[in-house]
This record gives sequence, structure tokens and C-alpha cells, in this order.
Amino acid sequence: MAKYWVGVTSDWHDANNWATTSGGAGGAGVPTASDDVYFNSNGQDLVSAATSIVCNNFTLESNSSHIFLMLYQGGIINGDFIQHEGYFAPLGGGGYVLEFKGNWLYDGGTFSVGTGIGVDPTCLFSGINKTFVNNNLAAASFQNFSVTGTYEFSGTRLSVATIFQGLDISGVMTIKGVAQNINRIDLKGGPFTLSGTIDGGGRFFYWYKDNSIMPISGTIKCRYFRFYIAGSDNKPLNADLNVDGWSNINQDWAYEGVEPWIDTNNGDVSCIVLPSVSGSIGLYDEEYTIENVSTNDSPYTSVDITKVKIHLVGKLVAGTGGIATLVMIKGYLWDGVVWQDGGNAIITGTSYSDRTCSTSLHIPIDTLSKLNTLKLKLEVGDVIDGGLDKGYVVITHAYVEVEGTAYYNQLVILNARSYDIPCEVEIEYNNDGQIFRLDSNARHYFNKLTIHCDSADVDTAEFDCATKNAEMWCNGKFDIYENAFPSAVFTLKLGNGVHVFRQTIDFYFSYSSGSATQLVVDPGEGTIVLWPKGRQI
Amino acid sequence: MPNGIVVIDIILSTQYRLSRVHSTGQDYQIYNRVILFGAYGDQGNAKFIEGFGANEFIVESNTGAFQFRKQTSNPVMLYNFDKFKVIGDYRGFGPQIRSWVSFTIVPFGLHINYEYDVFNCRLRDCDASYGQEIEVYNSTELGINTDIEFYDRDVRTISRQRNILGERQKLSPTPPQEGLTQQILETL
Repeated sequence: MAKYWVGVTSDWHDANNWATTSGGAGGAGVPTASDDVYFNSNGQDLVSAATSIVCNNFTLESNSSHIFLMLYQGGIINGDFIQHEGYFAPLGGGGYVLEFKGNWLYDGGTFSVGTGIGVDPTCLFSGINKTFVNNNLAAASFQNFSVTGTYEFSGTRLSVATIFQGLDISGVMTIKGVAQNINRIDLKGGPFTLSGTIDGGGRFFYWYKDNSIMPISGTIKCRYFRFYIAGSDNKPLNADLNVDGWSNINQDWAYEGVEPWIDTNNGDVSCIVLPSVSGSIGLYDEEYTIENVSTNDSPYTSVDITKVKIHLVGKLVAGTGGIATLVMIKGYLWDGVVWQDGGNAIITGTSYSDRTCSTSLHIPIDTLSKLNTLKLKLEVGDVIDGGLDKGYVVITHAYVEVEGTAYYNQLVILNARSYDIPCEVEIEYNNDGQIFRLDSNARHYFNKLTIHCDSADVDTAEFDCATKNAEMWCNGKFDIYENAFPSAVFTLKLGNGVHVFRQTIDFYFSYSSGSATQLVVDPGEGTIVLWPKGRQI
Repeated sequence: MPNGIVVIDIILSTQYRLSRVHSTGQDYQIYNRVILFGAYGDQGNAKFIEGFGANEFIVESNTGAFQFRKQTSNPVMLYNFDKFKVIGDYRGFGPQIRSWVSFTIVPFGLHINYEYDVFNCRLRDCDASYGQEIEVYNSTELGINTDIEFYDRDVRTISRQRNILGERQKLSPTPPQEGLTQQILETL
């Protein structure tokens, strides 16, 4: 039975909001699994389903632009889904499933799955031999996406579905592509699980990030499978750089002052004997080196620093005739040119405590190279109170707290699997310094493999088999696309493995690429087996 | 032909460009070890269209034609192999290795006299003057090495008549060796 929306309230589950004819009297009842649902110019704008919905065919007619449909708990559409107009909005969060069992057609309005607190909705396509057609000007955006049936994805748009959070395919996803009309599916986030098949003449477009993991099961035999490198290029830098050799309690703070003002009780108690005068002393101890910022894979290229502060862990110790109330220790950091004043740390009390020098030196110390050549110098300043014998000051540990952001070349890692005929794996570089690494000390079975880059902003790009001893077996052509790398040095690291190529290798950019474009092969100690296919005798 | 069928064999089916040449310069690449491998019964043919280098270059094949395009006038690209090894096969004529037609006038120094038809590899018009080691042997005792003639690099080639400056060298057949490529491929 047909059910037409004539809503006087927003509630999907109100029998009075549905009629058996367009614009007819309400009261026809809430749609059931066998009812075809229609939205047209009638009824109020907002349609809200607080609990799951069910229907047979679902149609947002071309005169339904006022309809704003909000789903809170998913549902099942047993028949075809057709959207010509209106706003179809499964709301985010809730972890629910909206199942499509029939064909899916979208040629107007807006289809957008929201995000919210918790797991965002899954759109499940379970029909057998059905079609998913996006003829709209706008993309259809999904969060979680699952194909358990068999669907052909096509449309007048290039990208017919954009999936932001996760994809699971246990059925068959056929991406249509005929001649120059190549449809594509965009996957912009993980997880990605595949026990079924991706095929068709179209393109699977994987925005491949740091945490992206290619499934190793299932079958990939779509015409094109593109890895669009979309790794991150920065992360927070929050490091405590230890002072070399000065991290345990018995470290000697050796004397380097002018007698008699500062002395150390050299040996079992590492400390400075404070002079019996108050006020600034202005003498300092020897300098210390500081460990470098820990390395990253790929290495940091630059930093944006917001804090550089010296920390001292120390305490005061009573002498025979008294103990100081407060001792100022001033820290300096060497920036490569001059000693920068990091301000005073105030040492008080008789138990160890972490004291911070007052001034952050992130402005003068603003580069990675400066951070990695830091040296520390300490100076005893004012000594307050304490009588004739002011006792000692003991500094057992010192470190430099660094905060900011570290930048590095984007690095994405691809685990090994097979890509079947006729799949052409495409790797697209789109930003400067990107590294695409084959992982796992294993063999990667490609059919065709093509390197792409059409960005003039890319100055360097790297394809790395060496770091993980990965091996390539290319059943088809291994190609640098003819117009790739307008202005870049592309480095191919082959490493120590065996790479087998059964078809053409073409390390060729184009004459128009210009002299800035270069190919660099780092051959390692490996072997290239050129094994041209031929006719069987 | 029966049924009017014309059969055209694709002689050179696979093309390798392991370096890149562009109008303003060259990217000449050197690899560690390159094996040109034709498996048993697999008549794969290949040609190389830009020069490249390799520490070791091995050709191991039953049959097949492998061509190296000669250098052109500009940019100049050579095939430069420190160690060049050909492993023939008694089952057929072996691989044929030769340069490709081009405009170069640079003579090529290494010639294997295939006319005796006893050597299972035909190595023609190749410049061996850059090589540090040239090794030719058969994969089984059933194969017989042919005579190998070395030419000086400065020899001019005029109307296909070659002037042999050096004394003709004859290599004795070496003991059969286990195919290196096979060892590698068995692990694949």
C-alpha cells in the first residue's frame, strides 16, 4: 500500500501523519515493511523518526524540497530508495544501521549521514544484483558503509559515494567504468575490511593515511585502485630533553667558579656549599650538553616551538650553622650563538622538588637544529637567609621541557597483498616530501603499478621498498605516469630484495616535465628480475 | 595459409626504460643486479630503450630476443655493466642479444660468432668495452660454447665489415652451473 506523508506533526510513527493518497486525509497508519512511502509537496517540513523505520520503496519526490527527514535509529528499506529532492539525514551517533535492500537512486536534494557521539550510523547495502546510482550534483556522504549484497555503483558524478569512517565489504562492490566514464568510490578513513570483492571498470580511491591498513583478504580486481597519500605531516612535540650524564642523584656538579664563593662537596654528597653571604653571587658552574629530540619515522624536518623551559630537581641541605631559606639558580641555554637567559629556578625546602626556571626560551630557540645543539649552564644567584652557614644546594637532575609542534614528511605504509588482473594500482603523490613505503618484509603482488603526481608543489617524493625489505612482483606494467612530477626529484629505493617485473617498466615522466624533474634509483643490494611475458611454446 | 589466417608474431613485446632521458639532461640509473630471465618454454622478448647501468647483468634464457637500443647522438646513454653474464640453454638457440638500429656510429666490441650454430646464445653488436668481466657459459654439459670474438672499441664499422684488431678469443666451456635466477625464483 502507498503511504503519503501529510504530516501535521513531525513524528514518523504517528498514524495521523500518513495518507493513502497524495495530500489525502491522515490516519492511514504508520508505514509497514510492505508499504511504499512517498514524500511530496504535502505535509510539514520536519520529519523525525525517534525509533527505527521500515518500509518497502522509499521516495522523496521532486517536489519534496521542503522535507527534512531526521532518523535517530536507522531502519530497513526493503524496496528501492529514490531521492529526487529533500534532505535525508540519518543523524550521527547511536551506532545504528540503516539497511537498503533494493536499488538506491539519488539525483537531487541532499543525502548526508551525520556524525555524533558514539558510533556513527552504518549504511548497509544488502540487496542482490542491485544498483547504487548517484546522478546528483552533490556527493552522497556516508560514515560507516557496508556491502553484504551485490551492488553496481555508478552515476553521472565522478565520485558516487564518499565514505568517511569505515568500510566493510563481504559482498560485491562493482564500481562502474566504461571508457572515459570512470566512477569512483572515495574511502577517507578506516577501518577497511574486505572479505568480498571489489570489481568493475571504475576506480576505488583510498585516501591513505598514517593509520590506514589495507585488508589482506578478499579480492580486488577493479580497474583502478588508487592510493592518494593523505598522511599527517605533524604531531605535538612534548619532550623532556635530559642533560647528558646528569640524571641520577649522585651526579657531581663539578666546581668551576672563583674561590671561595662556590664549592662542591665533591664525592658522596654532590652539592654546592653556599657562601656565607646573602645576595647575588653571579658565579656559575660548568656547562652541560643536552640530548637531542628523539627521532621520528620519518625524521622531523622542522618544529614550531611554544615552550622551552629549564627544569631543575633540587633541595637545600643544612650546614652546621644554618640553612638558607631560598636559593636562586639561573639557567642558561646555548642557542648556537649566545647563552640565552632562561630565568631563575627557586630552590627551597629540604626535599627534592622539580623547580622550573621562569623564562621560556622558545623565541630564540626556534629551530630543530638549535634544539639539537643545546647546552645548559647554571649560575647561583641570590641566597636568602640562613645565618653564617647557609648550608648547601643540591641539584640532582636537570632537563629541558620542550613543547610545540614537530613537522615531518608524510609517511604512509602499505602492507602486502595481491591485486588481481586487471587492477591497476595507482599511487598518487600530492604534497611535498611524501614517502610511500611498502611494508612487511613480504612480497607485494601488483598487477599494474603506476606512479602519479600532478602537483608542481612536490619537490621530492619517495617510493620505499628498502626500509622493510619489501619485494614487488609486478605482473603488469610498472610505470611512472607520463606527465607525473612536474618539478620533483622522485627517489625509488629498491633495497635488498628481489623484485620481479613481468611486463614493461617505464621510468619516464615527460619531456615537458623539465630539468627539475629527476629520477633517482637507490638500488640497494637487491635484484631486479626482468621476466618478460611471452607466448607459451 | 589455411583459412586465410595470417599469423603475426610480436617479436618484441616488452619494453623497459630503466632510466629517463629528457630534453635538458639525463637521469642515468645504476642498479645492483638485473636479471633478464626467460623461463623454460616462455618465449618472452624485450627491448631496452634507454641506457642504464648495473653492477651485474645476467641474461638467462632458453630463447627470446633481447634488444638494447644503441645510444643516440644526444643525450648519450650507454648500457654499462660491470659484470655481464649470459647463461644459455641447450634446448634452443638460446637468447639473442643485440643492439637496436640507431644512428650511432660507435662500434661495438663484443661479438659472438653465432654462425657456427653451436653456441646457444647470440650476442650481437654489443659494446663490451665498459665491462669489467664478461662471462659466458652454458647451463648444461649439453651446450657448447661458441667462439667469442672481442673487438677493440675503436674499430670502425663500415658497410658491416668489421676490422678485427685483436686476436680472436676462444672461451672454453665452463662446467655447468646452477642457474642463479632459478635459485632466486624458487623462493618466490
